[in-house]
Amino acid sequence: MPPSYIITDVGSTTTKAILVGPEGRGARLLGRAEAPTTVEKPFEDVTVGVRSALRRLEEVVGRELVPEICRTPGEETRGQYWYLSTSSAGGGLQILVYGLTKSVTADSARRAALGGGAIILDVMATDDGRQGFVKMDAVRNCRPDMVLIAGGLDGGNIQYVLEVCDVLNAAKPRPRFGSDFRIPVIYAGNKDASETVRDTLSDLYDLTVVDNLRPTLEREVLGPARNAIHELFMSHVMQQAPGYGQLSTWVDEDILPTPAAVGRIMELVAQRQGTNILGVDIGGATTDVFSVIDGTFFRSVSANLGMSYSSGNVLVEAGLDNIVRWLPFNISPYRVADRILTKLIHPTTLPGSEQDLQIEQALATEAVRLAFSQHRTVAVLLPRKASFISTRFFAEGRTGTHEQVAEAIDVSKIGLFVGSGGALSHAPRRNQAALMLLNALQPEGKTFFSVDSVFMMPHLGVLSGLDPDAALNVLEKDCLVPLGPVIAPAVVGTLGQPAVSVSLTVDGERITALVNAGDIRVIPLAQGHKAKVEVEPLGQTGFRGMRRFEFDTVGGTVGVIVDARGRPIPLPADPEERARANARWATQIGAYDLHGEPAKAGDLE
Amino acid sequence: MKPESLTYFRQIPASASILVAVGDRVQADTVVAKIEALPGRMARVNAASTIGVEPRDLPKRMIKKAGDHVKAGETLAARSEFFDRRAVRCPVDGVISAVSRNLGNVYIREIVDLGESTGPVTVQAARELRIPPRELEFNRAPGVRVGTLVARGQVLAAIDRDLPRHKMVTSPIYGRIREIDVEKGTITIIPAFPSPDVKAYIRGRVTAVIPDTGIEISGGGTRLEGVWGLGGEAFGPLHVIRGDLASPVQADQGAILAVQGTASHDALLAARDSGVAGAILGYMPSETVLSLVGDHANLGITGDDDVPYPIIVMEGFHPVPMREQVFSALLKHEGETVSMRGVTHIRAGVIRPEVILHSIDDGGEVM
Repeated sequence: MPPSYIITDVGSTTTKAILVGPEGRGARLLGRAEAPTTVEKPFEDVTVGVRSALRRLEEVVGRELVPEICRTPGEETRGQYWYLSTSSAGGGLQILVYGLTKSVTADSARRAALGGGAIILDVMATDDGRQGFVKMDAVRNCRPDMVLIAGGLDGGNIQYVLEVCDVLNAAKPRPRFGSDFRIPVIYAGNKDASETVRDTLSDLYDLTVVDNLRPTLEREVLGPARNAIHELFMSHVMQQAPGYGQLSTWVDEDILPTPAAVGRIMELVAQRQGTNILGVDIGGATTDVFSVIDGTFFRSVSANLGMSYSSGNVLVEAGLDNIVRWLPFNISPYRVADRILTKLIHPTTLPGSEQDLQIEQALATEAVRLAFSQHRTVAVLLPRKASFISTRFFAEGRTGTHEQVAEAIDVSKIGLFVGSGGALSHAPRRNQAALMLLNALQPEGKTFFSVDSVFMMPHLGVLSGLDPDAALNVLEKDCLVPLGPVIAPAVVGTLGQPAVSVSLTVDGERITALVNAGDIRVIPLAQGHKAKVEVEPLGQTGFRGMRRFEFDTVGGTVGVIVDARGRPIPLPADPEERARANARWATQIGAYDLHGEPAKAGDLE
Repeated sequence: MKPESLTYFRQIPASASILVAVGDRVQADTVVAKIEALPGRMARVNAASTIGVEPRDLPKRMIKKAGDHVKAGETLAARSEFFDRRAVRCPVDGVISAVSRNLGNVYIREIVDLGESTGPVTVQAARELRIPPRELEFNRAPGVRVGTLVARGQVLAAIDRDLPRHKMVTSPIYGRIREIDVEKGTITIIPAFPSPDVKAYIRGRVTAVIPDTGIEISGGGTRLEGVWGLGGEAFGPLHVIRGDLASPVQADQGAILAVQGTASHDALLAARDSGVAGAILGYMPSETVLSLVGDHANLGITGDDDVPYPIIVMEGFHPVPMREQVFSALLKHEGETVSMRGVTHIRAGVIRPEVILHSIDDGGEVM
């Protein structure tokens, strides 16, 4: 009989438990429940929250689960269920990163830490413009779970790496959990310095030496550092966190940091579907962006962009005008700021009116836009071939480097966008999620939108390591809600004139729709129904060189979305006119029933 | 809203004189410790090469060890073999942070006097360098930008760096850069510690003294929690105002204003000019917030803000006056000394701003 899996994700505020087991032809989600996480006082033991979530799951599925996994030491497993878990409780895995120069090894180390599922506390580099004492104070105050040191291409000068080690010795950062705990340090730098680094750091830290993550300018080897992060997370950090010692005896596989698990399932999806994918998870405090581009996984964490705790930061970073520009009504920007700051001070409140919801969605649009923009700086390609001079004479350190990296992300080459997090997953209408993704990410060409129904991706990520088929089946059938295919020309002609002709052939029946420049149109195609789509650009409309093209697709909850507004989306400068345009687009995509007219300002004051 | 037992730990930086002992009674504004010095820049000396030994042998040659306080000119390490006597001297007053056995370096954390400065200090950088004000932008030192911390003696701007005739201006205090004005050619720095005095904050008794770390004070009072605030701590007699604060206020020097409604930006600035030390508002519209702190402040983490005085918002940003229960509690304590703290951290481990209404009992016990 195929196995069943109990999987928990111990988050900062809630512990989410799911049961996956055989149903019909494959594995399906059999139940889901959640309970508050108990990492802080008065419990200070995550297993209390895990038990509580499992008891609730027992009620949902009508089976006894707790005795199956909550074993006392030495007690044998009953063998009916596999138990797996991910964790981001207590702020997740927090890493301090060192490199030599900002643009080379510090950047590679940052990518390794992000790929390992970490929250980055700080990235230190010799050329980061900060005085030594400022960095030392920063190290002293940051209380990391782990330190990752990269630095020096193989064969280069080792003095700078050793200075980094000396300063780390001088700063003596304290660990976040446990006063006697020796902070794990991963050294992934110049191999010539390995032994000396070991000698310098071993007195104070628990040192692990792995392969250089940037052995040459044009080569990046992040795998060993990422694996070391996962191993040390489980063997050191988790053992110090309240209750994890016990939890780690219950699980049948290593506990994964939550973002690492999400990354794992994204990689698997990209691999199985043979497409580039981009996922956005907008939380209360942070927004994570994941992408898999041509088989390479990238992750960024925008630690200050979120919908509740970080709403004030979105306001500051995006600017009030940029939030207001997505609203389907005209309002004083300060009234919008009042509402956003109210969300900041009462992070758990929900919108009380449709206008409040629209303000939250405008905020979410900007948070995703900014997080995506930050992600593009992380998802980069290394220089393909180093110049003769840099290979011959360059040693990272004293001279620094200005080798150019290229952006890996081209929005016209992403086959699947996945939205997750409360603002996207729990939007009252899926069409609203589609509009937020369209406005924030501004995809081009043809792509597909999905949202995560109940944020199960971490669970499926950890499951994918053990049973990838089960993970993918649940992902497809129970987790991802397809919104629909998206067709978006980059260039359109005169507003109001036909820009693109889209024909759908469903069960032999053909429907053709003409979409005008400046409009959004949804062509109905029920969820799961297959269709052949033919797209013909008209007039000056351009799909980056593509003329007429066709593809096979399936419908989603929204339908086939044709966005003929052009890129970047042309927003009128006049506030009244802009509100009218937003109201029209919101109506066209089915996000709101505004009949193309902005809401009355009187409703809002 | 009843009085409750309160315990606060007053942390002190590296070097401070503790002025109280366990059992002492203190008022909210009693100075319990005086900061004498702060950690400053890091100095690095290549001691091994100076005395001509291998880095690995340096620890054996050290006269001082990590953690020792050292004075400028003191010998850090020495070697004496036949007629070859060499020593390395400490370049600054400080504490030895680390001795490197692989590079042969000694790292010394400078200790700097706190100095007398309590307010912002403006350095006439362009004038001192004799350059047009606008050229300050191109001559400021790397890493010198608004918001960064600078140590006393740290170079802020320089010209002709690599030439014998080079000139530079340095920071006179340990603080954070508030403004670089390229119209006037000035750099303004706010002291990291505006006062050397660490106050008790609440009325009560000293219940623990931990040298080099801090002082624990326990007492009693009513704690009113606000929803959001700006700035640090303030103490003073409470002056209560019904409705909004619209015109200049007639309050005692150092008073804490409690305003039932709100106060405009101009009214808040005028109150500063009248000597007001803090304000508790019913609400504060975002327009006033943004005009006070600017468009780039982190509104979720406050306390370090450049504001006229600490401000606490009790209800929020919409026009909702202070709850009657809270306003009545403040009215009852009109004229009495209260403590307030604007620090707000909206994140895991949330910190909300607070007002402490002290119990009448002089011993600070809960009545």
